[in-house]
Amino acid sequence: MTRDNLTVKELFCLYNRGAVTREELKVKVPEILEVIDNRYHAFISRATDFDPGVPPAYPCVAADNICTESLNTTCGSEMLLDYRSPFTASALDKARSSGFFLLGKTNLDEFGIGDCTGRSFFKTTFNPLSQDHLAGSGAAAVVAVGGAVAGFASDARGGLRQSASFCGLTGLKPTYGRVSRRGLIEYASSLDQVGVITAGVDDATFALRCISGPDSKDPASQESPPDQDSTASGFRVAVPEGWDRVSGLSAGVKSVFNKTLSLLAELKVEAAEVPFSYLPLVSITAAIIGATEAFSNLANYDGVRFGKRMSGDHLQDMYVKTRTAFFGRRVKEFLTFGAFVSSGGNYREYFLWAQQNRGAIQRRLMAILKDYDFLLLPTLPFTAPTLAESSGLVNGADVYTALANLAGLPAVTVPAGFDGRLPVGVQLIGRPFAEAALLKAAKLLEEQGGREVVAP
Amino acid sequence: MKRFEPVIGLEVHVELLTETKLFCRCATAFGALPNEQVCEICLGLPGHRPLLNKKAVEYAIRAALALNCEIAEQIDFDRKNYFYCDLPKGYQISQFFNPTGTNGYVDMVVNGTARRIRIRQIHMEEDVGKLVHQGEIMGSATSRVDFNRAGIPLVEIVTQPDLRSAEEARIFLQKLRTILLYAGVSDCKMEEGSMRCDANVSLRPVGSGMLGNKTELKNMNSFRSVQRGIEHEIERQEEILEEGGHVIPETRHFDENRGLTRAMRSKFQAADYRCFPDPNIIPVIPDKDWVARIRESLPEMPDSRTARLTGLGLPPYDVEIITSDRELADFYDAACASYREAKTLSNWIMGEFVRLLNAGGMKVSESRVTPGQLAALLALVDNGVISGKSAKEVFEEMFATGKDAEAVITEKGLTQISDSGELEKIANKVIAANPAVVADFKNGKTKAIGFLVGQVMKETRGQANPQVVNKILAEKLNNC
Repeated sequence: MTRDNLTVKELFCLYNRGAVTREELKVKVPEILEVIDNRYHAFISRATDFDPGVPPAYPCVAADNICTESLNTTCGSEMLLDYRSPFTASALDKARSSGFFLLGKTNLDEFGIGDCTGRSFFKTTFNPLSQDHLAGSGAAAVVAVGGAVAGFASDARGGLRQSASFCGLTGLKPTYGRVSRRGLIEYASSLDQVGVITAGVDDATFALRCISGPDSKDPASQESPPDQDSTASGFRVAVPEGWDRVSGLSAGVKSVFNKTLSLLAELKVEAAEVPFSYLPLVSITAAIIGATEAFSNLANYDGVRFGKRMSGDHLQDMYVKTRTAFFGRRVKEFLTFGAFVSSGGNYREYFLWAQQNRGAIQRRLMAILKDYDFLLLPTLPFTAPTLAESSGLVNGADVYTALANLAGLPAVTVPAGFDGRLPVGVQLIGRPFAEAALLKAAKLLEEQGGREVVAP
Repeated sequence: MKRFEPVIGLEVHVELLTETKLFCRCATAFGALPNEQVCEICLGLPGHRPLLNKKAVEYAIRAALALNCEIAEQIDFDRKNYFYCDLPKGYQISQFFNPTGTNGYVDMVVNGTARRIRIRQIHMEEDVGKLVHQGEIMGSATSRVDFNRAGIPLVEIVTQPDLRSAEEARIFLQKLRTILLYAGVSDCKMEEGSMRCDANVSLRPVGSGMLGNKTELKNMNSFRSVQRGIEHEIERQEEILEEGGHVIPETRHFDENRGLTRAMRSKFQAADYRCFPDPNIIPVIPDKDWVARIRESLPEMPDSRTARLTGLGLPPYDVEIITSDRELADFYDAACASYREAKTLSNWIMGEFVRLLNAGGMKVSESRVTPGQLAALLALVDNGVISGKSAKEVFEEMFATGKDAEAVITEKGLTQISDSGELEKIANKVIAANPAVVADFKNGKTKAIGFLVGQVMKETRGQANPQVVNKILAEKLNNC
């Protein structure tokens, strides 16, 4: 292997072993990132100084809705075109103190709203595995080409796991409260969690350890209880019935998932279908709650204190012009939906209904997880879409993923096979704060699943 | 006989006396430069997380208990969504679904009649920023916003529509202020805005159980202005109804200078606040022990104090004055512990003590004289050591220096001469020097003795005990 073909990840690896000098790193890394960005449109901003300091250093990227003092935080929106946060997200602070070095801020759906297409005001990120297709997020594209060990991103309805799945990667959404959300510009506070995209399960395990833990600046963050590994003598997996009747489920995804089930049978892992009637309600429930919270969370973009402003004849005119001009179409649609479902006359019929669904889903999942260690589901009903396909896909992408967000449970996607050139992920959902067991099981699937993976 | 009776309910906002804001650690102190006391949280910057101030919750519970409310099983917060430039986040965090306290009451006396005004609820919310304009609002090209006030904890107290006159409303508000001052949760300064009152006013035919259309009256910045504003609004509605018209439900602004209320220009269409539970704030379950401890830490409240002081034989006026200020009442009680003449004590406290406090612009807590020192002074008067008149002079000195009565009396040489041997000598001297007056007395002008007493007092530079002098002179004149 010549040094010219090394990835960023490999360069840092050599740097940590003393085999690459700091000067070499400082020259080569920005060059490679430039290439990645030109090819896949993955970054919104890149670091200007690539001195990682004393080894070990682990290259990472963060989605551009996670606040950083050193680089702008735009949320992929024109609204925050030049916005510089006065503080850095606690999770990134923690990561930095564990040796993570931030290479740049990556592209995402504007404000994270858009269902895994990876399209912002600035650019659309393409999939390194198939450039006709979307990557779902800039973080996934960078990690997929070895541009970083970890991509820290948010997961509100499954976006993080979906883009990891599109790019054949591991995507971990931790238990709600395991990782501080201070500094995450979330659109749906009760669903969103900071997680990580990595090439494999081991990296995810390491990255999670670096960002976990209580934060005095996020009251929802908690000290994780000691990991109780219930799976030492094997584990049991529940497959919610109706998974294969989800609309839009592609034959390729279905077949990879069935192969995963056979694989588990070979490994003598009990995988049983369990009654579950809520799958048809998952997307709409998450959308109503997400949009209600988004309408409120994005109300601070009013042109008064920060961000862009259009001048208006009077205050209300200024609001309307500013928000009309600087929010993208998808965001405005979602906010309008949120305004509708939470308005006085609709509150009961929509928002309260969704909250009741959420409660019922939570209770059912917890009941299943009493008898089983994990739930197993496809990550998405389909593989990475093309740009043309993506416009029709905004609904239903989160039918499997949003379950974990609605219930606050940890979930991980790992690649399980391919549909043509495109990777297919499967997803495990675990008990609250049982990430250790979850990642162990994911590791098993990763190792075994590897037999099925044919590199494109 | 009036055909209509007013139905009035109040919504009172009160700033809590916490040192920091409701969801961040910014200071709440008044008087900082604009936007000096702000942070990512109270400015609503992207990515901020609210951190609930437990002290504010404690104060809200304290206020709720002082108003005889039931405490919610879970203290949680909701978002009230609307756009305005003084509102940093585009929503105000408030308690919409589960107020901290409900079903309370305030007892009061209006023109000798006992009245119980029910409290519907008391809930917490965060204050908004303050708009600053150059010159008149309408003439100003721009608005500037000072966010120092944004995020300061408030409680809103909502009454049932139990008030029946503007005067009642004013008396209620004053009583409410006293209760909250006793509870120590707010300084309740209407003029400074730490207590703000809106009134819902409607009229209905006397004897009717229905409620008429109400208007919401704003911009009343003093107790007097609350009464006046409501009076004007009642008159206005009366005129409309007498003429067979309809009262339009709307928000009206009290114009203090012109003495009238006028409809406020509606800025936006009817508000839909889309209230929903704030997903970023973890609910607090107030455990029973905590609530019990807060309840125990409340001082004796005005009603119970009034009953006790009345039991000591104090007249209603004295009781009202003393209990109207918790510190004054505490001072009274402390002095009363070692000085039992209840009325004498209240005369001194309401008279000399309050006069000197007012003259110095001081609060009771700033007084250098302790209740025990006052009690000791009064005991010296009773024991005849000094005269009541000198005692006032002594008290002034005590008030200024914080010294004990005895020390001041010694310093000033004010000890009263009650020694009859000493006084007899002086009396003899005075009688000898004023034969004409003595003759008058002998001739039946008994009042002439007053002059002689005065002469003795003059000789002793006022230190003689006048009762003793009187007795000595009377004996001597009658016997010579």
